[in-house]
Amino acid sequence: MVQAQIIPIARETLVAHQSALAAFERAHTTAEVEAGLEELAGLQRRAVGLAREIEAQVIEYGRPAPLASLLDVMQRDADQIARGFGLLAMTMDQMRRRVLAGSWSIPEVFDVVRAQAQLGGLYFEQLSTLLDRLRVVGEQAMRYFDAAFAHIEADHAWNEKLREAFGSDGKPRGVRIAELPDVDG
Amino acid sequence: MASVYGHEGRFLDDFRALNPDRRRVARRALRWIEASPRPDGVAKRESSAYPGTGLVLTIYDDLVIAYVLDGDVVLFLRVQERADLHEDVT
Repeated sequence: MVQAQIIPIARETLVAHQSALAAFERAHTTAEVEAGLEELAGLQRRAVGLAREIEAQVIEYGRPAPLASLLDVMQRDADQIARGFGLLAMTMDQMRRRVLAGSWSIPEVFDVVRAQAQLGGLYFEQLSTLLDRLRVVGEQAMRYFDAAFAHIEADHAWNEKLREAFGSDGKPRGVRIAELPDVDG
Repeated sequence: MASVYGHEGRFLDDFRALNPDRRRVARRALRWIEASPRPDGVAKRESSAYPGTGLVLTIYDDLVIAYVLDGDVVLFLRVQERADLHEDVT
């Protein structure tokens, strides 16, 4: 399951983000501030990727009927977290450009980064909660599908009907999606 | 039921038999399958019942859909509404 791969990366990204913030607080020169902002933006972009991977995994689960509304919420949450991290990274980039252009002083940048860091911490918390939920829901989805597929494969009537979808030459007589009639047709 | 859509009728007949709400769900399901048709081991699984055809079964909402992969082409074979798959898994 993809969450098994994402969890360690998410933890590592959270720790790296906290370290980068701590290092940023010690920055004095323009070069240090600029490098710190670049590192924070990079970590936030990595978090965008993680949230998008969660979203993709949720989509992969399709729509198991008993879990459908839960998965809808999770997909929406993953999308919001990804967008949130994306906005944070964009803000870091903007501040970096302002620092480089000399239009913002370092104390001004610190104020904004501290406020944004709180938001970033909140998003990391949400990401972590979402990963926990994904693990639980993933196991439930797997159980549901295992039982449902076993039920279908053992269904004699379904299999008989399915045989009709193959011609006498053994070739499938299926249709492409484009050949389907309109919804109301 | 005789096909009303010509000789490739099985799936079209199945589809036609769904009520309009279910047909909308089926269309969503088919788009979802076409976006990623490979059997992924969770919601789309290869069937062992028809060797050599690459038959895939998928369960989406209360619909069971069978399709085959013919190169890059997805051919839909059957769709059936299954209320009996609604089980409490929590």
